[in-house]
Amino acid sequence: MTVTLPVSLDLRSDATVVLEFHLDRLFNQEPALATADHGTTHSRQDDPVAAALKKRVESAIALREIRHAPKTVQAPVQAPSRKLIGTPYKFRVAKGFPLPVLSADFPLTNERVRLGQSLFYEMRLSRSNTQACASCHNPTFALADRRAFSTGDSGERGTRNTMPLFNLAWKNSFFWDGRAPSLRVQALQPIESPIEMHESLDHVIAELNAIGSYPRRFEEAFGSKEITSERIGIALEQYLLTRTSFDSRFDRAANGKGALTDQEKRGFELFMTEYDPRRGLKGADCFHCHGGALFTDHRFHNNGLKDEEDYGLARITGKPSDRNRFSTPSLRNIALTAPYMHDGRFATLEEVVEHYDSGLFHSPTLDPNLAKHPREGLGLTVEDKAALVAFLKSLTDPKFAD
Amino acid sequence: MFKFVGRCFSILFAIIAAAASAPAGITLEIHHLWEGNPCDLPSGELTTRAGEKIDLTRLAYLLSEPRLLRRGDNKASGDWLQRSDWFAYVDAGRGASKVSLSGLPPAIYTTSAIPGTA
Repeated sequence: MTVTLPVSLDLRSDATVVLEFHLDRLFNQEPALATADHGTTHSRQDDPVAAALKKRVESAIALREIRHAPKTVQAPVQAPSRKLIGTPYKFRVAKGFPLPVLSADFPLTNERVRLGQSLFYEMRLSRSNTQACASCHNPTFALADRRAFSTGDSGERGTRNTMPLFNLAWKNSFFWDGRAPSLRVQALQPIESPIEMHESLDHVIAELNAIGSYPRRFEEAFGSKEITSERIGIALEQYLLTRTSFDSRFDRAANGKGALTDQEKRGFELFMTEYDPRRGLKGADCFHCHGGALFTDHRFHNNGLKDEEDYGLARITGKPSDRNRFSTPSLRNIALTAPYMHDGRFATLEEVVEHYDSGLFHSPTLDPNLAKHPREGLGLTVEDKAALVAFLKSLTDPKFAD
Repeated sequence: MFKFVGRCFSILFAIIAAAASAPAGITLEIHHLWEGNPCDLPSGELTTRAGEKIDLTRLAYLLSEPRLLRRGDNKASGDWLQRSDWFAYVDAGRGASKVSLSGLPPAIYTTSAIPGTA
């Protein structure tokens, strides 16, 4: 569709065109659009809702104002030169993956990655020097914890399930509630959390300074021996960014280097198919949130878990509309990362599939793609459920089970 | 609840160009409104004219192929400056509603013909 706007512009300098998109006009033009009449929440091809929306978009956009930038002559600005310290790390992106946006201030280097790896396994990051990041992010289980809640340095249990760590270069918020905007910020929080490593960063820095090899390695990584919390965060970030996963049996089958079983193929079909009986589609609807090469949309959803204590994203934003919305985890390596959900309530993939089939708790913030399911459930057969589990198990990357 | 993930559509500027020298740029800033008021996503409960209660949870779409009409031209002559290689993703729920279009011939542009829907 094309939207035409009568605009008068003086582009001898840059301009800002402010547009208004009147969403109410999509629904309130005559005849008023009642989505319930069409029984779908989707604007797909040949859908009458989609056709009506498309037609109405053209009259829903209007010009508010045009702002012209003052005419200035800019002197050429020389970008500050930052000499690369260390050896560039070759970051590999699998075929079919989107390109990640890596931080430009500290490019990945072998020295920083190796330093981050050492810090990830460094017990001195905890108060009693008995816990490292890897104590709860177990490399045998895709850097996750098989316990529902990990136990911290002082013996206290956490309140959320430990998240696996891979393909983090594509994320832009961290923790189940997204409270950390970057990995380098996220990586420092468990160190100081009283229910996790329970240590102060100042003390960590003092301890690392007392070990001869660390100041030298910080110098190799950053150009000077100074150890700071920022540098610790960046080194951990760089190591974690290199934990990429894209070599499962599913990937090999997709690349023509292997094959899925008929049961796994059936599971994939269910996974990728909408539940829309009106069109004769009776899929499991998984792809809405877990679609794409990364098997996550990196958004926050209420997936129908009853939890009246942990409101997830709403704790951070304060918005009632974010209540019980949690970060969508990737389903890669899912067979390795039990138990499941933000509170580890499900021990097996079979329980997870059963939840989505018939166990949803309906609340006002339930994701629309789940809220549309009938109250009695999707009606997946025993064979369907087994096929979904079989498919999910094909997403395991052997290198994350070492 | 209702989710609208839009298809790709074009914003077309009915403008005409005069002279050109160094490249200029346009920033498109899109404000999403419901009955004149800012509409943050998720919107919470809204009532349509049909009396239906809806909650807008996602609004995402692509803008593509901006077109500019040069001075003295009209739709019939069809001398369009078209950027077929440009597209921008708008995702209202993520606050991504400002996009840039650069490398345009700088000039005084005034409204001429307003082409109909393509």
